[in-house]
Amino acid sequence: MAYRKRSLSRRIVLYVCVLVVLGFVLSPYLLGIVTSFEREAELVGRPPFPFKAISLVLDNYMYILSYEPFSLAFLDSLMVAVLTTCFVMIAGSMGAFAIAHLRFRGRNFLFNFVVVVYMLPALAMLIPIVVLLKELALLDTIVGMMFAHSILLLPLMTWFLIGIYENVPADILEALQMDGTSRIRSLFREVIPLSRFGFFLILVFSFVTSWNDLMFANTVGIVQVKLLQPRILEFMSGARVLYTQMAAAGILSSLPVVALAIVLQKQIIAGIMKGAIK
Amino acid sequence: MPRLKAESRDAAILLSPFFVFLAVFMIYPLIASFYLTLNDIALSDLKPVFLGIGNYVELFSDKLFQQALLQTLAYLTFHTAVGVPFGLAIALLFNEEFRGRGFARACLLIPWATPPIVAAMLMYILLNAGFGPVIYAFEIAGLLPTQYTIFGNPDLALLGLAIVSLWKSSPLFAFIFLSGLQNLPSEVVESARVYGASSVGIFRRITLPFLKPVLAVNCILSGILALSGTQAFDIVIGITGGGPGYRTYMLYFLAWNQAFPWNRLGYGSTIAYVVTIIAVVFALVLLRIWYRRK
Amino acid sequence: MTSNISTGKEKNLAEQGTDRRKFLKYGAGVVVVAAAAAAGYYALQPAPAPPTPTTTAATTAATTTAPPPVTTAAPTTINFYTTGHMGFMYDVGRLGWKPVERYMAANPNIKIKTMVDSYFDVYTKESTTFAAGTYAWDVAYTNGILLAEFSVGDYWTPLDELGGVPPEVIDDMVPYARCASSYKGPEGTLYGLPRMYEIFTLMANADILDAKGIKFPTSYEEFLEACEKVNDPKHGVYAFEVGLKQGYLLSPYLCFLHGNGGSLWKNDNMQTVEPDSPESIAAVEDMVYLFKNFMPPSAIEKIAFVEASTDWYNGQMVFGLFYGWPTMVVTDPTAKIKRVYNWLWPGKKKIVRSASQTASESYGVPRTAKYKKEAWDFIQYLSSREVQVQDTLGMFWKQENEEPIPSYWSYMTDDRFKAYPMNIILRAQLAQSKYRASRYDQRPSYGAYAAAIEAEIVNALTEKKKPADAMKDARDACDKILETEYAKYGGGYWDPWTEMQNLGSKIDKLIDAIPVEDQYKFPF
Repeated sequence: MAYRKRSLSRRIVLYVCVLVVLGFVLSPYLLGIVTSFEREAELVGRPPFPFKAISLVLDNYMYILSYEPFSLAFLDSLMVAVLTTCFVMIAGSMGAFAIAHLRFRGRNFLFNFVVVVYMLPALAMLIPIVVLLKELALLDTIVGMMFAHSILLLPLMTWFLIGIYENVPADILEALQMDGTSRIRSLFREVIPLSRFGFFLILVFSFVTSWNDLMFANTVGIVQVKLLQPRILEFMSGARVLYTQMAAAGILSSLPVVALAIVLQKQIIAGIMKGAIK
Repeated sequence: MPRLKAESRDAAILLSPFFVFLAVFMIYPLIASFYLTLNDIALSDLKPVFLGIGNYVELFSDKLFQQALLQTLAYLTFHTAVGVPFGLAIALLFNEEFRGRGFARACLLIPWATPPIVAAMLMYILLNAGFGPVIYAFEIAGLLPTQYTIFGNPDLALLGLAIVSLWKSSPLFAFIFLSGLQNLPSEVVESARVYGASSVGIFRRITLPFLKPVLAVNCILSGILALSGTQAFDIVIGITGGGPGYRTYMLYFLAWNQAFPWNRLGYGSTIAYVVTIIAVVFALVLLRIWYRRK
Repeated sequence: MTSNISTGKEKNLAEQGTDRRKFLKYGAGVVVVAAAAAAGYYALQPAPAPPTPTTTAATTAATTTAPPPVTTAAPTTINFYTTGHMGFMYDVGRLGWKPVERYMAANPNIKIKTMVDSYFDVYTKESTTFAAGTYAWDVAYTNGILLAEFSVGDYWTPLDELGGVPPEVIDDMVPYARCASSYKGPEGTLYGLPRMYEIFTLMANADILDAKGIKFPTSYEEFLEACEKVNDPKHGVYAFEVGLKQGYLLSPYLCFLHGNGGSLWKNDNMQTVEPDSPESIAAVEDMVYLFKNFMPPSAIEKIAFVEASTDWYNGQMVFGLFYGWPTMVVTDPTAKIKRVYNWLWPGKKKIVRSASQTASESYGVPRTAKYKKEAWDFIQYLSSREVQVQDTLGMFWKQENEEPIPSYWSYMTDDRFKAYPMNIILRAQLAQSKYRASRYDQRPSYGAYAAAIEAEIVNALTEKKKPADAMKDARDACDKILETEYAKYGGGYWDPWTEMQNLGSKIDKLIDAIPVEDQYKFPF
């Protein structure tokens, strides 16, 4: 990209705008970090933080890190998120490849169908899903939770993957077929390596969605499976809302997803660029 | 046509996990929940009373439903009509060259990645009347009375929630726009400039048309988030719980509220279905506009 | 090298039309097939199995001081479900967990797996889990509304089936507490043993009142005068604060209502809910007046007292209305309040006083429990004097654990309660118990009509509607909500006030048995 020389005043305006936007985007999170190191009495007493000096304490984090169920919930959420991501990537890739590159009856219908299905609100299906999982003896299990989260993800991820696969030039596939390689083999040998950027998008999106889910985590998980977001909701019990501790728990629970998104942001952009969004 | 048959067979194999999952975990629950909407049923005793379309009929004369519908549409409109252009503006800004651009872009993902209830709580800490720094800043500047409340104000609460969801969504839209802008070849822009086109002209004639598909995707995403995604539920329940009065009741929240705390599963499912219909209509309308402009 | 595979975005309108038709055709096909499958599925559902009675063994009475003896020989794990505010919040070292540990120490072959959820979540979690019919918990948290709604679906095990409760223990239960553990009692079935009991009282910053020479108010009119004198918003001190956010607003409202001589339920056989009675409208008008003149504007965003408790600690308010535990603020050396008064919420002059609101919660045994005998033993243990007294002693102003006073009369005069400020809390709560209270959550639709009334109260507080109009709309909403309830269940919900009225002299004796300094003795 050719570098355009800019006058000083325009550069100042640019940086000011950038800082304002960054302030808007980051301020709640930064304030949350500060809050998590505050004492509750100081948080609630006026004037609030930037207008008075506060003493920073580690108590909130100690509290939370020493509470075993929190760590267990963290690990459970991690496991569910990883499993969900794998399932969605595998099932979605296979289906998307078929829709993108193979010709069969009902292909166009299925393409549209995938999009529409994504619209369906999870709430409407919540109770039947709970009953269904119970009938399959999957209620309150990690696998059951994985299926529940996949409901939120599979249609959209498949849609993204269709777009990604369509970008793989058909000639490569033609060449492979003339060699006698089956379509399925060609999927693994050529298509996936060519579209690896798209996978990062799917990975991050699936992980974040699964990690952040509250509704299914709350109803599908009862005794054996306790996930992280309901744990944070615990802070809003009837008898208390301790913002400082909730902030600490919130920051801790958002670290993995924020880190993942930031570390992989280049790959995500590449994935979108390569045509996941069409 | 042997090739078509072979492809169909391969397609069937590849599609099987996807299709089985869809049928079992999405189609079946959807049909089952439709069955629920035809009944009056409570979770506490699970004895259905068949109503036919009774729930739907009741919906139309329900004042709370009408209020929630209007509030949902207002919220949806704000979320899309303000959020998406705002995201575009941020994207254009972050498309320029400046130091720390990579860092700034990475920051755009933080609001989306933050878990929704955490985000709701963080925004409440920022904006609340008692100890929120924003209100206090206005207060000492003399622009607002002491402890001015947004979320406790019936006229402003919905706007407050809309701003919270704007914070959560606009950076995501910006990020997606940015990714789309990466595809815009800079030579085109450069040559236009050389020929004397103004920045505004470039934007209108080159950038905007190029971004049409991305724009459509963002609008659809905005609709889904505002109607039935986390913006519709987690944020409401985390900050106002539907209040003050019924001023922040939105359809998705109302559906949950009727199904669970008010123990009317059939009626709640009915409202959820109405949300589905609105979402589908919204998406179809947008797709139509997009296809036509092509 | 162009792709010749047609992609979605390259369709023209004609192709779209064909696609749409195909879509509808296939869509209809799928719907038909799935509908057939669903119909088949539901048709094949077996009828719910009748509940199997458990074998009952002789069990120890609830008032023993020692933990019950070892029950089974084989190692067993009991699932115990409770809410954060019953003493089980994040700090594992705090009170709620300790009785559980003691029980496990005394019964080495029983392991208790404790699961904690937010109070706001319990209802949804229990209703979904019970509806699914899956085994989850042996002992579970319950309260009035959970019992009222779930008893209909037969989700809880009546205590009679587990061993029953001796009459002397039932007599020892505070009727307000027993009400929350039973459905349609007192002849109704007892489903749980109360774990706690607490009732709203008025508390005041004694330092400020004494400095300004103001007497603790004994009538609502005196209370308003006192507010006038202590209100000082310029210095960040407000006369009164209580959370006014929807979700927990009915409780203070009931105080104002009773203080006006009113009642939320009409005295007819349906116990019609009438939020539009003159006393109720007056109550809302009182609340609006207080909010406008003596309360911080941010109160409208706060839940109950829990968000105001830190304001209390910071000395930012003078009078508070809540359960007794914020009084314990004086035990924290860094608190701005050094002395506090705690006594009755004053009703209007010439009205029978009190006006208060009570809470009680208990533990029950779901039908789906696996180890019912062990569960029953554990519940009785939690109901014992030792556990309840220890819990009360754990009261703390921050209320991470909602440790209220015991729910049995005989526990309340324990020697350990005789020091300030525990003694003034006990006395105030006892005195308050002489007056009309109850949270009315003994009926199935409570959650719904409470929410409707709260929404209208907020409309009045934010001056969107006049109190009379707001309460009229609340009445309309309640009528609609309760139509089904009236038809399905009839009335006949137990109002424990009838029984409480006979206990005045007993309560007076208990109050006398708890000594206190003269300055904390207030006229009745």
